[in-house]
Amino acid sequence: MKERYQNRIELLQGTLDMLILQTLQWGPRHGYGLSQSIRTNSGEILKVDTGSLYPALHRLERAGWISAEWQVSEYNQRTRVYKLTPKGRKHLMNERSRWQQLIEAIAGIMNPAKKESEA
Amino acid sequence: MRFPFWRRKRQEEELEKEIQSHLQMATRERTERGESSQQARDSARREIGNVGLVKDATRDIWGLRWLRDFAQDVRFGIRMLRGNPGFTAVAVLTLALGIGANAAIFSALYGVWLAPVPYPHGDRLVDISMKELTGDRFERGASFPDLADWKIQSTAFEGFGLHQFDHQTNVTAGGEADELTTHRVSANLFRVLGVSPVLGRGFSGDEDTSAGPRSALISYGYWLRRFGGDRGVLGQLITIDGEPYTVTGVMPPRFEFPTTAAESSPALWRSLNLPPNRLAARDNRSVDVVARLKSGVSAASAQTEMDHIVGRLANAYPKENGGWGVQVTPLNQTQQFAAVRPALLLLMAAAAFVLLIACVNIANLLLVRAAGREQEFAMRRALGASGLRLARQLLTETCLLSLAGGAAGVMLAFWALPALKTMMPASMPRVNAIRIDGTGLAFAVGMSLLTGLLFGVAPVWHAVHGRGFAVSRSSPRNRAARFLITAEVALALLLLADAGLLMESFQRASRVDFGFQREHVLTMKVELTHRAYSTGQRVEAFREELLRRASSVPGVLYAGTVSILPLGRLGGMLTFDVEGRRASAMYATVSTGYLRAMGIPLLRGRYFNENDHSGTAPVTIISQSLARRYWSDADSLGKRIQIDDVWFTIVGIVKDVRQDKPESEPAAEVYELTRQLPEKTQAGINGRYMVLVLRTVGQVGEISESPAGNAAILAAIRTAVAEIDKDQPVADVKTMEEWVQGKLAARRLNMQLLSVFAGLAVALAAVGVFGVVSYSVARRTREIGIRMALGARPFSVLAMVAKETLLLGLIGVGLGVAGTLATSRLLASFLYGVKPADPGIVIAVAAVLVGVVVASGLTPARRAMRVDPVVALRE
Repeated sequence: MKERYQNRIELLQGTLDMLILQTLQWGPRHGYGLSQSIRTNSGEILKVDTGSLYPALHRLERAGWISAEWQVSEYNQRTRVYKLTPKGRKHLMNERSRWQQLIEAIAGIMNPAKKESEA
Repeated sequence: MRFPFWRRKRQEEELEKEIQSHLQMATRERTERGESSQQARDSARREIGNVGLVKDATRDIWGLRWLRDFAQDVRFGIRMLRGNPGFTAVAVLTLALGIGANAAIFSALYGVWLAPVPYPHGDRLVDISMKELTGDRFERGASFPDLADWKIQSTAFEGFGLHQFDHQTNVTAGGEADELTTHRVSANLFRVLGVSPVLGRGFSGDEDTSAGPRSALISYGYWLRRFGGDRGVLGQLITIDGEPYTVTGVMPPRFEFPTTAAESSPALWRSLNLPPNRLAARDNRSVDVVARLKSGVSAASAQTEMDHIVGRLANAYPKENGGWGVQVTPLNQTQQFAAVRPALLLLMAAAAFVLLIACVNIANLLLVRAAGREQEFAMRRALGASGLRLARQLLTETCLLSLAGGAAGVMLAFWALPALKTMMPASMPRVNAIRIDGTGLAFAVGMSLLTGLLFGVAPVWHAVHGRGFAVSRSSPRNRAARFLITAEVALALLLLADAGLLMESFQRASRVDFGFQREHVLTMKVELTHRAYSTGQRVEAFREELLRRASSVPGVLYAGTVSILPLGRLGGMLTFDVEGRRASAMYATVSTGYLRAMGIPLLRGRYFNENDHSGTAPVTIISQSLARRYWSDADSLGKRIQIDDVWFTIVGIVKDVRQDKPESEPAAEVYELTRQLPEKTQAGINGRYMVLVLRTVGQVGEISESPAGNAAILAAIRTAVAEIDKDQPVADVKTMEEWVQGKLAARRLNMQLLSVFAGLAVALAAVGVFGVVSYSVARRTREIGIRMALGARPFSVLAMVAKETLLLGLIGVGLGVAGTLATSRLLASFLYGVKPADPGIVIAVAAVLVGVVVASGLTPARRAMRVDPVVALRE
């Protein structure tokens, strides 16, 4: 069972990390809020598995791209709130341009006709 | 937020809280959307999934997963070991014997050889000796003028201390006379060593010259013994060889200098008080130098510097210093330590062999056990455990086992070490320093882990590579087990052969004919001081009176004195003139009764008697080989030899005597009567140094002496000596048998320890053979059942198993014999009277091992014979 979880994390790793960083750009969030935001902003398509989310958060924290602190929420509840660090912001920029390149490259392969017509 | 692993618990709690808050938020949102609270809680929980797995996946991110796995492996390992108490007990016991033996021998080796000398920063203390660059390469100390130049020119040293061996002195303190080992030291020596007295003070600094005060520091032991620990000892006068010295202090308990055998450790240290002519002579190298290196300076660089300095001095003073070099030696590597190293190495090697056999045995046990765990490993692999993960788990298990064995072994070593120390020969230096300390423990732990890895290799290999063994007798595991058993038998044979060779050597050495009758001889040393006995007449008067009284003590048959006791102090050579030819031989100056008291057989002529005295013509008795060297046996009587311009007539020929030790050849010897010697010789050391030899009542050949009888005789002799001279001590009271045993002590220790190790090795090999054959029979129950169903008779089944066992044993024995022949030359220096590859011993040992192998295989083989084909086939 454990093995299966790990495989899924590895599959999602790059993208999930980027999505978390991107979401945190709009302001600090706790884990639950993050998963809700990603779901809403993707038009309910991307559902973030809790078993992937928390490992990813702890991994990003270790890498120093996000930081966490305990805060009291609007319902007077202690939650762990994550925030983008300057280092994380820089990493996000890199990831975005890499992502852009990847999208274009894949698009080029998927739509060869368009590319030829441009040329 | 990176938690170190010891704050893991807090991190766990935070994770738990974080996930709980996630759940609560999800639940709240759902209730706000209108779900019932029960429904909301359930679906939130469903959404989040398996909380345990979420946590698990998150924990992996924290790293240190290996630590968690390790803890898990340890727990699992402990469960496995506890679940199999029989196996665990056998394995731990086997390892305890192996590691215990190694820890004990290593502690001895470390204490005697490797440990720095027992002074603060002892690793910085060196001995500096001058050595002849040609000829005998004789090593000596330094002269004062040279030392003064060293002090000015060298930069490597913090200070130079001086000392000089006194050997035995007669010390009178508090009205009691003792003969003690004493030592002369420079005023600064203890500062160089970094040790101060526990009571009183060190020397003032003026004691090095004869003009300065005469001071002495006494050992703690001597202080307790002679002064009853009285603090009033400070400032008291004691007499050392007739000269008064002031006691200035008491050294700490267990302090020793020089670090030497306990029997020759000084009881007091007195000032040097050297006369001006000795201080000025550049070629008088009579003081030994101990220097302290500056921090960070190595002995090698000090050697280089001293080479330059001594080279310059040799050029500046060619007459005194030409041909002399210098040797800087760390204090724990001087000659006396080098002498005991081969024996320590031999024992260490033997102990290592025992451990190796123990490892082989446990590897075998583990292999057998691995058969029962084949399913477990297959299951783990199927569930996705990698080979590496399996290997790690198994190695954790074996290391746990070996650490448990190591712990038991250290306890065993603690228990065995005191016994080992009492077995050490008296000549062994620094026996008191032997103990199990941090280094010993570190060694034991290292050894345990190493063995754990070593015997873990085979089972791990099979667990990782073994996928579905063919159940045939050539399965890889069975082959491995057979190989291990063969190796084990070979190693055991090697040890047993070496033990046999040492045993035979010991037997031969202890049965050797020394040339005297060693039973029922009591000896004691009486050394007269020059100060009290300055003339030959006084020495001879003392001797006559002592012998007169000694002869009349009940139980004494004969009494005599000798200047050099066989097996005691090493004697000198005498050069003399035999009919115009120069000759040399050992010599002893004796009283008339000595040869009879010692039981040295007369071969021709007569013993000395009362008619040989200073007024009659000088006579001598020579030993047989000297007589044969110059004359035939018969002719030598009545011939004359010239010693120091005096002619001596040969009146008797006696047997040669072994002088130094059992292994030395019987030597040619000349006996002279002290009372016929020139007055100057009588007053010299050969006259004043006398060993009283008493032949006591008892049957010849009756080994056991009567301690009570000897005690009564000794008391009578002490009284007699005190009546003649109350300041005269009696020392070194020993029977001749004790002298012999002292000379055999090192040999006995080697033999006994090696025998113990060989015994262990054979026992372990027997257990190993038993295990492997039992396993083999158990695996083949079905095959044997089929054979028997097809008509094989029980006896032929027995023969089949026995043949295989025998083959295994023979291969092992063959390898062992080859190994013995190849390595026994290394043993040559420990042997006496046997050749390294003595065929009798090798054959006997091989036969013993074949017997052991067959016997250990017999029980399982008989089990094979009793296999019931019906039962075996149904299984």
